[in-house]
Order: sequence, then C-alpha cells, then structure tokens
Amino acid sequence: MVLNPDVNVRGRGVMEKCSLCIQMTQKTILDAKKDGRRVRDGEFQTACSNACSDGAIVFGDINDKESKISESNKNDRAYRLLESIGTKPNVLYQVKIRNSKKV
Amino acid sequence: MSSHYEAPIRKPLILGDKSYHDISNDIARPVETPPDKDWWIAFSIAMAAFLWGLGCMAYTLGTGIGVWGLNKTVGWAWDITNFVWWVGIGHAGTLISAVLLLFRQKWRMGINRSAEAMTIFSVIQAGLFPIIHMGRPWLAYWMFPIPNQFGSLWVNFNSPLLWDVFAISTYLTVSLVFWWTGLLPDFAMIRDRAVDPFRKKIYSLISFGWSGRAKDWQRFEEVSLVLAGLATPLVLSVHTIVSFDFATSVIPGWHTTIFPPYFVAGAIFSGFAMVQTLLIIMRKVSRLESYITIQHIEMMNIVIMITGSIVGCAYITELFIAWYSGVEYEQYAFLNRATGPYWWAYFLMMSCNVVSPQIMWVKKIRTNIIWSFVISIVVNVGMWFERFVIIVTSLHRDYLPSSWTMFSPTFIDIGIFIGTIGFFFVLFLLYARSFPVVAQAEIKSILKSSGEKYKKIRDKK
Amino acid sequence: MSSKSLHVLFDDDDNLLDAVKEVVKNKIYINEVYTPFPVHGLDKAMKLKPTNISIATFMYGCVGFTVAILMMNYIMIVDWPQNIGGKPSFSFIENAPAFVPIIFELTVFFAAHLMVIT
Repeated sequence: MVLNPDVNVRGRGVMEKCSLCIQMTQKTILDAKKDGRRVRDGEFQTACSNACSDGAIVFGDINDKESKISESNKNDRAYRLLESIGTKPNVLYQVKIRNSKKV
Repeated sequence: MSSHYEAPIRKPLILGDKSYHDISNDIARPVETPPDKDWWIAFSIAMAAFLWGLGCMAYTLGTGIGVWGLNKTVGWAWDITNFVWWVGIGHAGTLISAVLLLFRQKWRMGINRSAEAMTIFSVIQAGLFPIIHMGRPWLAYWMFPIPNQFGSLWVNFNSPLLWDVFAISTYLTVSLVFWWTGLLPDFAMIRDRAVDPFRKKIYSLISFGWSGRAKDWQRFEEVSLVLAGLATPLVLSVHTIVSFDFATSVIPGWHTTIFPPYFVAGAIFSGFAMVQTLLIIMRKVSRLESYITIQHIEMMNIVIMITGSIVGCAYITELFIAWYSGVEYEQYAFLNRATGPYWWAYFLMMSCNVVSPQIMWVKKIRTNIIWSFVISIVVNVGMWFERFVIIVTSLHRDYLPSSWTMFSPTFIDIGIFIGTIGFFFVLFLLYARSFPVVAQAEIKSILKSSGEKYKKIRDKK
Repeated sequence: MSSKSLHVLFDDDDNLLDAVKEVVKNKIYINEVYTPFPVHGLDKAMKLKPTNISIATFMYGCVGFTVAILMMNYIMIVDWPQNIGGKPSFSFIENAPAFVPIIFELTVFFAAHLMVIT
C-alpha cells in the first residue's frame, strides 16, 4: 500500500501465493497496446526476474514462439511440479547441470 | 372388462376391511383434524433446530467462510459432505415414484407421496449449501448464463460445478412438478370434503380445478408415465453429475471412474434408509399401518440391502484398483483412510454401510419394525461418514506432504447441519398435516386387486 | 328433437365400466364421466381420443436439446472462448463431452416443464 498502490496487501505481514506480478504484467500489456505493437521478448518483467542479476529467473510469453521462455520450455532440462498429473503449471524449473562430459 | 385380478401369492397391499370411503377418511384425517401434542413437540424441536441453523447461516453470511473449519488444504468439508448427503437422500423419492411406476410395482403407491415429499424437502436442504458456501452468496445469480455488462462474462460450461447447478435445478423443479401433478386429485378430494370455506378456497386453488373427468384422468395417467420416464434418467444423471464434482479432479481417491455408479447406488441406499425412517414413524403416528404395511417395509429393506451390497462392492473395487494400479498416491490415499488420523470415520463408514445391511438377509429382521428403524438410522449415519471420508481424507493429505493438515469442524459447521435437519423436519411435519400423505387416488385404484378384503373374497372362491 | 339427459351415480367402478360399455354400444352420447380415482380401461370404453401429450413432450425435449446446444456453442465457442485450464475451446466437437451433462439436463427440463404447463 505504501510502496505500490497497485498491489493489494494484507493488513499484517502474511505471505501469500506468488501472483506472477500481475499488475506489472498488465501494465506491460497495456503499454504495448497503447503503442499498437506486440509485447517484445524480455519486456515482461516481474519483481523477482528484475532483482536477479544472474538471469536465473526468466518471465515471458509462452505463446511467442521465439521468446526465451519458449526455448526453455522445449529444453530437455525443463520440468514442472507434479508433471505426471498433466496440469501443466505455468512455472517451470530446470534440472541442475551436474558435472558430466555431456552438457 | 377391467381386470382386478392379482395372484393370491402376493401379499395384500392394503390391510384390513377397507372400502373406498375408508381410504378417503383415513387419509384425510390428519389433514382435517388439528395436530396433537406429539406433533407440536416434534415441531418445536425441529423449529428450534432450524432457527439455530438459520442463525449460524446468517453469521456465516455476515462474517465470512472463515467461521467454518475450512483451510487452504481442506477446502471442502462439512458443506459439501452435507450437500451430497442431502442430494443422495432425495433420490429415493424419485426412484419410488418414477422407476417403480415404470416397473409397474404396485407397492409404490402407499409410499410414493411421502417419498416424493421427502425428495423435495431434502433437495431444498441440499440446494442451500452451494449458496451458503459461496463467499458472496448475494452474487449467486452469477452462476446463471445471463447476458451482462461485464462484456457479457459467461459461466464456464466445462465445469462440473456448473453442471451441478443445472442438474440440481432441473431435479428440484421436475420433482416438484411430478409431485404436484400427482397431488392434484388428492387435493381435490380434500377440497370436496372441506366444510370450512377458507380451507375449501385454498384447496380449490392448489388443485387447479381438478374435476375428475375421464379426460383429466387420461391426461393424468399419461403425464405420470412421461414424467416418470423423464425422471428416471434424471435420478441417474443428477447424482452422476454430483459425483463428477469429484471424479473430474486429479486428487487421488477422487479421480476414479467408479464414482458415478458408486454414488448413484449410495444415493439410493441412503435415500431409502431415510424414507424408511420417516415412514416407520409416520405410519404409527398417522395410523396408516393398513396402507404402509410390513410388506412395504420389507420391500424397502430389500432395496437397502441390495444397494448397500453394491456400495460395499464399490469400496472393495476402489481398494483393489488402488493396489493393482501401483500408483503410490492412490495407494497412500487408501492407506491413510484406514490407518491415518481419520481411521475412526473410515471404520464407522465401513461398519454402518457394509456390515449392517447384510443382516437383512434374515427375514425375521427385515420384517421387524424396530430393527428396520435402527438399521435405517445406522445407514444414514454411515452414508454421512462415507461422504466425509471421501472429501476430507482425500483432501487433507494429497500429493504434496508439505500441504498436509488436519481439519476440525467449528460449531457453526455443526450448527448449520443441525439447522438443515431441523428445516427438513419442519417442512415434513407441516406437509404431514396439510397434504394427503398417501396417494389416495392411486390406492383406490388398486383396492380391488390388492386390498385384503377383496383378496379374501377372491381366494375363497 | 327432444333431448333428455341422464345423471347416473355409481358406487362401484366395475358397474360403471359395464354401464359405459352398454351405453356406447347403444350409441347414446356420453357427455362426461367423473371418477374419484382412475378407472383402468374407462377411456377406451368411452372411445376417448388419445392425447398428444407424449408427442408434444418429445418436441419440447428437442427444443430443450437445441436450446442447450445453441446456447453453449454461442457462449463458449463464438462469443468468448477462454483458455480455462488448457481445455480446448475453439470447436464445439472438441468440447462436446463437457457439454453433454448440461445438454441432457436442459432437454429434460424443457420437456417436463413445457409439458406440464401446456
């Protein structure tokens, strides 16, 4: 409430689910709409993807076939939580690269 | 020549030396005489329970769902358990009216009116829950596909919760209509006997001008048959759709294809048990033992026994498939049910639903009123626990152990449940004194074939 | 042509049925027969026309069926197809299994209510 009037917060410190920074995402979409263009790859940023200087967190448009996130999706390293149930969550993780000759 | 013949081996469905006039008198008596002290005592208890429940519901409405015992892991508990329990109870009434009509089972006639009434009242109770379990029940109309100003934001037709909305609404309204058309000739009977002008006015209004013309009867029979034909698949489909609320999810213990037949059999099982409870009390209180005979009670017990066995088979199938599939989530779900923190609920469920109906194989027990009454209550309790076990044990421990938690009901949860039981009995008690509780027109049509006096005359020949 | 009318009171349905058959055989016009409970075979004896209720109900059921299909097609496919949980939303055929319960319920709803009202 203090720092960002867009984000609704609890009265006291309560951890909630990640909202995938919906307010920032929506602003990105609206800006692009105002300019009459598609959202560029890398334009979508969330608080965590912004904060990480090493680029470990990537946030993007999975419908855009050329975006970084789509590539990560097709990568063999990608997996999701409880993948076998088939719910296809929007958050995907990458398997850690271990010390091996094949990378 | 209309045949009034019935095989002598069939037990009479109307006992005693009843004539047509006796039937009219017996059935109109509770309607035409003021209620006695017992009725008032029962009514006050039911009313008190109802008002308590109403208060709890108002508190929930005003303060929010947080007053219930629900949490993030166990998102559904007593609310949906009660919903499914009441809907299940409702199915027996339609079955007795509709399915037994199609199978030409004459024994339905003594019990179908009250069974249908029970259906309507229990579906009303069931319908309360989807509404009060919403966070903002005043927006309940958003569940319907009505064009609106939000860019015409529509409902999601892929969702089983919405299928439920349509199914329960259809079921409630069609049952109501079926029941009311059956009641028209009986209301007319009371109207014609009525001396008090106010009573006469009311009953004329609700009998829709029934005159007993042959054409009326022809239409009556045909409408009954068509509605019965429509209501039968309705019974099956409505509880199937309720089972889809669970079966279409991914939760272990819910996502199984056995749910539709299992739920339908369970519904018939608990419904007949409730009909049994109500009728055993009513026949004594309203002195209708000649119309609701031991034969009727026995037939209903047989149905309870059969559907109880089907439910038992379903339990065993679930356990077998959980083991055979090798899916560890499914296996754990059942292991948890039997040995986890809610094991006591599971064993209550098993003993009430599987073990107790089996004693009905003994003829002495299934023709005994006290035993029938006891078992009907036991089955009702058992079926409530079945729904509780399915919902809460599957939810409180599903895929991710980090989310595992316990559930315990608050007094509001319990209060609302008691309130619905109170409401149900309020409605039923009122019904018992203002509506003819036995389908007297239909009973009269079988008096000559199945009445004891006439059978005696025929068999003596 | 003189016309007399007869009012007859019976206390037994078998007698009523026999009498009705006799009257019809003698080509006497029956204005109306009132009974407190349905007498099996009376309408045939009186040569009453069979009702159109069942045909009408079938048609009402078809109406319900069509209404359900058109409504859901419009709402889910034409007007506002949404990606809800990844389920297919662009053709009716793909979505059809999900729509079946409501199609069925609305068929029964329309059939029953329109029949009773009319």
